[in-house]
Amino acid sequence: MNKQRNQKWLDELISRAINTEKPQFDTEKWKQKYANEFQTLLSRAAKGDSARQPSILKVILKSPLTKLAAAAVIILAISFFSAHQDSSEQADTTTVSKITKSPVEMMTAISLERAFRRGGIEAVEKQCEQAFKPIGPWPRSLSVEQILAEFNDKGKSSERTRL
Amino acid sequence: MEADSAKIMSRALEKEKSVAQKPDTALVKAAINGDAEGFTELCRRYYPAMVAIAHSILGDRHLAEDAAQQAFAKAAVKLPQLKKESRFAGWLAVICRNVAKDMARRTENLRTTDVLSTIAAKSNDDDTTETVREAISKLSASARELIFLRYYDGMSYEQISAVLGISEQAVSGRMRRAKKKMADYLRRNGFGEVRL
Repeated sequence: MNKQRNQKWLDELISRAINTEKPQFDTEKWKQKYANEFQTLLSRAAKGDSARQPSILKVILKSPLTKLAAAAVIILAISFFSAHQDSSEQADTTTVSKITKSPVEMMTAISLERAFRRGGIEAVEKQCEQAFKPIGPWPRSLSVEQILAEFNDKGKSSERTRL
Repeated sequence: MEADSAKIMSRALEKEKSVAQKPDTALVKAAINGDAEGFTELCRRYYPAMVAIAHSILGDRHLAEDAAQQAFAKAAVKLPQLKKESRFAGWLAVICRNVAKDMARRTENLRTTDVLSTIAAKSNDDDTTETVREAISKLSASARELIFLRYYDGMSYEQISAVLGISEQAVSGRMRRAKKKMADYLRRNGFGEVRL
């Protein structure tokens, strides 16, 4: 009982000490004082719902189902991309094998241009190496002109044999 | 002419009433989308609580009202950043606390003891009231805030828990401890019978 009385007494004392008079919010005064902020608030009405468009990430992260779906899409995209990469690499090798049918074909401007487009000067060198393989190693003492002359002759003869 | 103005007035009153009956979350949503009436209703609802929070930090009623108004201005701009509408009160309280602390730093009035004792000296209150004010000023910032929220506007524990973002049980516990501390202080200062 004594405790309760003390409690009440303390409540009264605190109320008196804080000297409470309920503060009233003056809307008009506030609007005038903080005109810029109020205008910012109103400007959102003009923008409409677009002012609070939820981001895609938020939507995805909202439920576990959407999270799983997003993960599945990512995995599918990665696997599709990697599969596509493999097939394009295979396509490259087939074109090389097609091109490297004969040294003459290998040395045509078109094949060299293709090789250059595919892999730059390194690809051209590689193609040349592959083209020269069936011909065999060249002695160092031979000049470039001689090599080319011999090469052209061989090319002509191989064309002739094919015909 | 008079009938028209009466109609307009009654319509405005009806609209005001309907806005006042809306729950916080609906008002917050409306305010986010730029509804001025929704926002001002929220201001009206939480003004006393924000003034109480600011007063507990600043120790001055007028400064506290300024801080609360400034907090509303900040909230008006930052409202789209609010993640959950249901946590508006707690979010607003954080803004208000920061504004009041900034203000206190600027005016170098962070020590509420001085301010409270100044108020006590200015007014013609008795010694008891002055001692109670001292007891309040000796409390921790969070306990002082709780006391102000409870006795400023007679807020219920439910309302306080919404503003502080803690459970009602926690509010009750903190309140009990704060009052006990005050009672201890009062007993040490000549109020021998105070036991809670």
